[in-house]
Amino acid sequence: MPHTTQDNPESWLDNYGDMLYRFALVRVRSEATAEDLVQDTLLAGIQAFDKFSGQSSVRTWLTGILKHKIIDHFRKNRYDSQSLNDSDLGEDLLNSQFDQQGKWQIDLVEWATPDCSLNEQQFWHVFQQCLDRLPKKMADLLLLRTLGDVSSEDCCQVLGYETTNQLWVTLSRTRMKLRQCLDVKWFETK
Amino acid sequence: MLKCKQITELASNSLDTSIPWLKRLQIKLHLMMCETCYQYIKQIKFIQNTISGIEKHQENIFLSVEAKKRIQAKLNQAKIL
Repeated sequence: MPHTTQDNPESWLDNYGDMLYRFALVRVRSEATAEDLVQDTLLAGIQAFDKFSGQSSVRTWLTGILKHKIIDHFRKNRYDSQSLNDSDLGEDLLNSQFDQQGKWQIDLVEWATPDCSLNEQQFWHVFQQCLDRLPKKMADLLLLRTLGDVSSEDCCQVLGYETTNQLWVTLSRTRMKLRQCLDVKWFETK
Repeated sequence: MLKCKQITELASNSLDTSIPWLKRLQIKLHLMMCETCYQYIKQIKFIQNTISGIEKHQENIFLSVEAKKRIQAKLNQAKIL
């Protein structure tokens, strides 16, 4: 297989290190963990390079290895000990939002120019804060599912869920809590 | 008739997985009559888009020089290079 400079493992850290780091950081939300994952990915890539078929780019291939490392990371940090209770799942918030019949008992105000917020550094800061206020398990799940790398089966396995239905309920509650936080911390202050 | 509480949960599910067309239709019809659910769904979709945009927003984040050095040392140490 012909090797270009980019294919040379010695240049991977320079060529792909930052890209892999960003990919990991947004998902694991810890600089130290993201750095370790980059290192493990490059080591694994170098060791397995003879198996690299060249059908995808090195970039795609390394990203694939990193995805597995990320899932392994979540699997190792078993969530068993942190099963979600009613408060985590936002039962109180749910009950304050809806009446007994399941009808809204609060008013939702339209968010003013939400897309413009995306250009504001402060918005991202608040968004991160709101993510950090969620139970870790819920925030991890929302990120992994929304960024689209992890199948629902893998999510269930990592989280120790028996059914995908539990997964959908948890995601729904996670969005509800995140929406509430953004509403109070960002849009109401605008 | 589905209530607002169920509609919001279904709408969230529809962001994660495909839901039956009848349910989708029920959401659509409900939204024509319910401004609060309409706002709620618009907002959770915005959250969805925001998460999808995090990576693009973080394009100016790089491995620190120290981290790079440390990783390089590990790679060398593994005597693979």
